[in-house]
Amino acid sequence: MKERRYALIIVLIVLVLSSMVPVFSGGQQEPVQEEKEIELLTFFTPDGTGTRQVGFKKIVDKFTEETGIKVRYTVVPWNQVNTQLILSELSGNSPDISFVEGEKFALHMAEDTLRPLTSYIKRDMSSSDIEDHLNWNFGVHSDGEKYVFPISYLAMALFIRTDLLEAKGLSVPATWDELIAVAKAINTPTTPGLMFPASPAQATQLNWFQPIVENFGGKIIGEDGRAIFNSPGGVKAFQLLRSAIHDHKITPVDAGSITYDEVTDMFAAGRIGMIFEGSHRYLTIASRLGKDKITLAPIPGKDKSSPSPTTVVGWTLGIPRGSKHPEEAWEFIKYFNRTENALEYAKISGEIPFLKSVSEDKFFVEDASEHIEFFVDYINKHGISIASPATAEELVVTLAEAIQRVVLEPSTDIQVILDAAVKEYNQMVGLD
Amino acid sequence: MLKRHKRNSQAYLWMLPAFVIVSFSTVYPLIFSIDYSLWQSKRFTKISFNWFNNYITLFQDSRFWDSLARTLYFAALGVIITTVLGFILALLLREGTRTNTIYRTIILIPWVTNEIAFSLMWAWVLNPQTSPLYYLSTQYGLILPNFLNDPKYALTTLAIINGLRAVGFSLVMMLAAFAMIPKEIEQAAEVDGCYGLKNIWHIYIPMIKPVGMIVIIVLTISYFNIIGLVLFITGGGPIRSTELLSVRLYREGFTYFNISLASTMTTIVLSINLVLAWIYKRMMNAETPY
Amino acid sequence: MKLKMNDKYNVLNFYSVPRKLIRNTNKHMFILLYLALTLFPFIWALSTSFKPQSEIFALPPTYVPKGFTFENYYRILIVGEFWRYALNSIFIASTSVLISLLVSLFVGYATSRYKFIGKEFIMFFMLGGMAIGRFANVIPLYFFSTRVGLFDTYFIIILSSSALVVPLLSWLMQGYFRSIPYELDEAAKIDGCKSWDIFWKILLPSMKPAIVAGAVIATVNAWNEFILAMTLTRSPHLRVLPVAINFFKTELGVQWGELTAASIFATLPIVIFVIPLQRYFIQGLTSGTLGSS
Repeated sequence: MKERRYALIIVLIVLVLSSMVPVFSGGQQEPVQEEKEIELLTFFTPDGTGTRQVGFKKIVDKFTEETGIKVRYTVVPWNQVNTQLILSELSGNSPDISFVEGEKFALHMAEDTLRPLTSYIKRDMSSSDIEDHLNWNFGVHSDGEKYVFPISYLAMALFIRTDLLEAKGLSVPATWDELIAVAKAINTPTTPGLMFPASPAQATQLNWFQPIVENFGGKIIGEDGRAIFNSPGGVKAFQLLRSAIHDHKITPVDAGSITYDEVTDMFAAGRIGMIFEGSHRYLTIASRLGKDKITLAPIPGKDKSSPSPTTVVGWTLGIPRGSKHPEEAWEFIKYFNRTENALEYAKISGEIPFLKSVSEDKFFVEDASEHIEFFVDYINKHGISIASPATAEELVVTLAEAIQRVVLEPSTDIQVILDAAVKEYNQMVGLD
Repeated sequence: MLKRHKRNSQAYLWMLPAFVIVSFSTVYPLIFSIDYSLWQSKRFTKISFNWFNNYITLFQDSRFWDSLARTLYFAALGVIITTVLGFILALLLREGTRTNTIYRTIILIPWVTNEIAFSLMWAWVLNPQTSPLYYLSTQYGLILPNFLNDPKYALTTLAIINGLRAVGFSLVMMLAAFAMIPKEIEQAAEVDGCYGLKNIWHIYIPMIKPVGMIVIIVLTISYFNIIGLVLFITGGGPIRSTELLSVRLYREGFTYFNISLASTMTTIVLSINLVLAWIYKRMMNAETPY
Repeated sequence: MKLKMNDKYNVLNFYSVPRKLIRNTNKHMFILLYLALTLFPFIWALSTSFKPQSEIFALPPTYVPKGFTFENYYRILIVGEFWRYALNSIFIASTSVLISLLVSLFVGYATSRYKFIGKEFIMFFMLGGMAIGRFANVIPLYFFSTRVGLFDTYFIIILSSSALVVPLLSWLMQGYFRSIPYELDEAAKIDGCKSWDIFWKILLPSMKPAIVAGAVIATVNAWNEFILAMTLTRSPHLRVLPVAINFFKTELGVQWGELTAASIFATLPIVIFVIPLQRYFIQGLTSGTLGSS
């Protein structure tokens, strides 16, 4: 009896340990033959069915076929890419090439996680290659070096339900007054005219709110990095959101606790009239709602001639400092930046291309992807870069909390709320 | 009766494996947190040794005290709900009949469910715009308030959801504790004319007290560290009414990389938890002879 | 001396039948009310998991799916290879449960049966390991594991998730061991049993309900361990269910069909695991303990 128990325990322990041994040794085994392989830190899954994943995989496969360099995906959730990149860089565990969120570029500069690419560019890229970029400065740091190359761009627009608009015989709103009028006309208890997310559970408000602030002549942050959205222009922008709920009743007060994802889901289910939405979600929404039911319009402005600008961000590719195969990584970036590959990726993914030659391709001028045509045009005319200091995350959360307070505390003076928020942010990031 | 084994050194051998495992993943984080809490840092880079200035700054910050008060309320309400409901349900379900087995299993489901799915589903159900529950109640003419939109209700709502989630945990604990009450004690009590409430008061509560206290300690600690639920459902809103210490700690540490502030808060939360556990333990020891 | 009250007990039961009936109806009402309150989101998740994309946010909401489909389950299990993540989860959870249960039983025994210097200190040190919280734990553990070469291995996941549940179990086992009368081991000791035998032969059989409870708790903890698994591993072959489920919260929105199907699929193994264990929650396993001295 006693022996059996001892034996049982020993067997158990041996089992447990032995089950780990292969894992252990497997983890330390280096690939024997000198096979070229680069590790890519990404949130795209290799077997993903989303258009972006499929498009990216296609380019990767072609790259491997042509150059013999394999690409090993290290997949983390999309909102963990930055954390993982910084942590891995600090612990000497870097991937060879990594996705970098455009908004977090300054953070990575401050943390010095990325390699400058200028020497590679000088060696391998012609000036016409550089000129072909829609926005070469995207990814250029204040030291003049370029660190990242975009995969695609992401811009904001006003998404409108075409069928609701047509049912009332209305035209696309171009000014805030028109927006309110249209929203009032299509507003029903089950289908709010306009919706925006004010919950800090998903702090993405900067993307659509910065255009509004700038349209009213305000700025989110100043040259010195301080938050200054408490300027008169900023107050007007916040006032617009508050009055949409409390004066015009075109947005339910529930917006105060609704997240970005929930708004997208509701719009895609046909339960909202208008939203501020990003180009990256267009295809997902269109696949549920139908393309014919979505009208894209610039975010309205104070007057007809000048709509609000649109923030341009995007995911980029960069090479971490600790990359063990920087040459191969650069090879991949170069490959991705070739016109034919960028074109193929843009076609499949439905994302906004980053090369002029691609955006002028007849594919994007045709009906097939008129949303790309719209966004490229909007970016060219009114594109602005999003406020993205190294403390971008602090900024968006502060802004989200300010929006929520403005919306849910209708009796408090907006100026007071914003002054407090701005002061808190500046203190938090050590500028006050 | 209270005699103990004298071969004390043997006890260390019994304790060793657990101690080694826990040290493995505790010692380094403990040192890391205490170390960083004494420095001023920019993200991961230490700038200057700060002594206790981080603590002093935090103690002068009203936002910290507010979130501490919220955390205490959140934890207290949650612990009461979980323990009391767990106790009542265990009392009702302690016999091993087939219906009881089914009930018990179903009650465990919320506790077993993945945290992300759990939080997102509750967020969906509590969002009046998309919730089937709100739709149903409106049809019957009942207009529910938006619990997550009102700073007055949001924290209580989250505390209740969170408290209900862990009922499965306390139910399992209490069931085991009940099962370990020698049957004779219960029978003796019935002979003495103890029924119903009296029975509960005189027999069950004293018998499961050691386990109950530990359930309370464990729940307090875990409720101090709740993050996902709050982060996914309210993100600390509305108007910071659900910003618990743990939520701020997560933001400062994991998204802002404000490591020294996060470490300071970690150390404080840790101390509070240990002090609370110590008090509970005193209370427990005062009444049991062991 | 055994208490023999069975006859009288039955008589008493006979008289309390109507009372019991009322109690039973109340009991069912109470439990059903409780279930209705807590289970609504799960019923909704269950219903959502069988809906096609177009129906998920339909207005009016459909409680029973109209376009009933297994597509979401097909997509996670066959296409998404969730069965592989489930196997990973099962392996990691069972290993860490075995380890942590065993060492915690040792601790419970030692702390309830021995008096030694530093007992309180060790117990509170272990509690500190739990109280420090996962998020404070995870960044230091990341650095630690990369430094010693354990990053991205089963080993680090099993060890760190055990380490977080061992304090909890140790304290619980301490409590349960205390509720076993000391007369039991005193008697055994008089008979000449060594402490190792007392532990295995005398105490563990009485601890069955506690061991089952501990196993359930450790399993659920290990099963739902998310943040450690996400941060300390990268390879897809080490991915566990919570990490895989998190991928349905994408940059393009939540994939509700897959998310609900996956989370329901992920609760099934635990539910199946728990049902048969419940027969150990019956009273009487400890009976006779009072009379034996």
